[in-house]
Amino acid sequence: MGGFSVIKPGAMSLLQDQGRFGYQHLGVTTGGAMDEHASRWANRLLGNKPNAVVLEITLGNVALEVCADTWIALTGAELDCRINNTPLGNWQTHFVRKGDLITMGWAQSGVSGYLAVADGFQAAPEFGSCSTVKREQLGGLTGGALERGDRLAFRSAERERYPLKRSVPSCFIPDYVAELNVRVIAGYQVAQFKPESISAFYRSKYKIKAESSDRMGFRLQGKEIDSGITGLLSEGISYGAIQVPADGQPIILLKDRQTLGGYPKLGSVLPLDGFSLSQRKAGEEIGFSEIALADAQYLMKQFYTFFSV
Amino acid sequence: MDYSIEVAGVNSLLIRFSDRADPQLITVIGRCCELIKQHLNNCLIDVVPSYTTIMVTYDLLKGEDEMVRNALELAVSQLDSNSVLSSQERRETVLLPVCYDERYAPDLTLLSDTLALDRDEIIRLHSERVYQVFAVGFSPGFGYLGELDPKLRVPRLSTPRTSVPAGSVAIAELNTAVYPQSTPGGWWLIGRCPIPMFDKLRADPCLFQVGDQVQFQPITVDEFHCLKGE
Repeated sequence: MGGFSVIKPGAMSLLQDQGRFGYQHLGVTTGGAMDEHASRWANRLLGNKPNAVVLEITLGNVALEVCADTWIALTGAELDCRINNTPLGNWQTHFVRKGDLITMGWAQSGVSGYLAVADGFQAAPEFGSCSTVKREQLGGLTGGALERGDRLAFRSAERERYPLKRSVPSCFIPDYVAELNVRVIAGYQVAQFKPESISAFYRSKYKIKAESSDRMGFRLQGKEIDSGITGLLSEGISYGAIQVPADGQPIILLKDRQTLGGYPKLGSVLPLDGFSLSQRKAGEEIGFSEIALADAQYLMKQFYTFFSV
Repeated sequence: MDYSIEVAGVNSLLIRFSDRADPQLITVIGRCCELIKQHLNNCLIDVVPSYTTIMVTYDLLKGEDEMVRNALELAVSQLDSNSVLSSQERRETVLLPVCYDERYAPDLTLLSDTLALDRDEIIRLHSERVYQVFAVGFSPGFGYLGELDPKLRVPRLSTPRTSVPAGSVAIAELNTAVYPQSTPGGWWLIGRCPIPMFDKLRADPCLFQVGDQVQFQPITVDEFHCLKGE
């Protein structure tokens, strides 16, 4: 069995697949790669199954020793990845040899970088998924982030397996520092919000708060939204739900969200934009616009169809 | 039955039955989840019941919005009183042993003073009642059980604990619960349950689901240790 030996685990590096589904009724969250666009491209470049396990590297600072030949793919945040100190192109596949040293610096743009290997990393699924959720101690190698000395197992692959290096066409490579407009599907209790609050929300810019923006959700700071709703009972929360607690500052719930929540919700973000949002750093500003449900569904179907073939 | 279906996301719909929690409604909701699973078997991702709602998430490549809506409406239309009864009969009450001894009940004395009830009376009121599971969430296996006897109702602690021991049996407002993991928590701790609430190695990782009935059974310190395998 081949593998990478972890020399430097980085700020937070997690094994992820596309998520843990079918257990939210027990309080088990979905988890899964924060940015499906980048993580799915990493698997696609190598011809892996769409749900193959990848390494999600948050903010970088990782060093891995290669213990067997394989092909890797790099996507997502720009982490200045090098092999034996020679820079490697992002959004591409590379062949690595036993004894090579893969290093990554701190993220220059974006937040999460993805490292895939041919056929994916090997890990024991829990509740049908290898996604690591630290809070629940589920998935990954031991339910937590990578640590120094861990071994990320994979089946080794020969150079001949792929005749050519592959790369993502430039039109599919996002610019993580471009201004982000997040499209919102209205719903939930939106009719109960004050109309002037809703229009102010769409006209304003919101800053991603540094503290407590994480895999559970991103907290925003900007114009206060008065929901005028109190005393809600907890209910299921979907990916991308926009919660508005009493302080009027919205929270966008992401992959590791709690399964239930009792705050008013003014809608949910188009998942594609949720993936882009996940690559934005604290302090950056985002804006919102509305999208019709049918249009949102069309875009998501297109996305999942593209990555399922 | 009155209900509305709301958009909860690109591939999620939420059935809202009411704005008020109600022990009878939660049994109906439990039954409705089973019907939804039957009707939408091949395109469901998650079905999350809670108090007065059910959120349904489906696979966009396998199910259309309208088809899912129709299936939800069909499920609700089948919630006649017979089906509610049958689901109640089918599931037994889950018995959870609790040791109310002082060493596991750090808030029992203060609670006794606050409520002007002696400890035995609190234990009796807490363990006599059969509770409904209104929701499972907050963390894996955390069940919101209710409703408490009106005499036992207290607000949450003004200062939540940064860490509550796993297995702690707690009360706050209308609810009682067992903390499955050691987490921060703001409820009053009145006992400890020796059986893990959530065990990923167990065939049924969670001992109950929404709509089930749960009752607490007082045990001694010795029985607690024995059940814990100590």
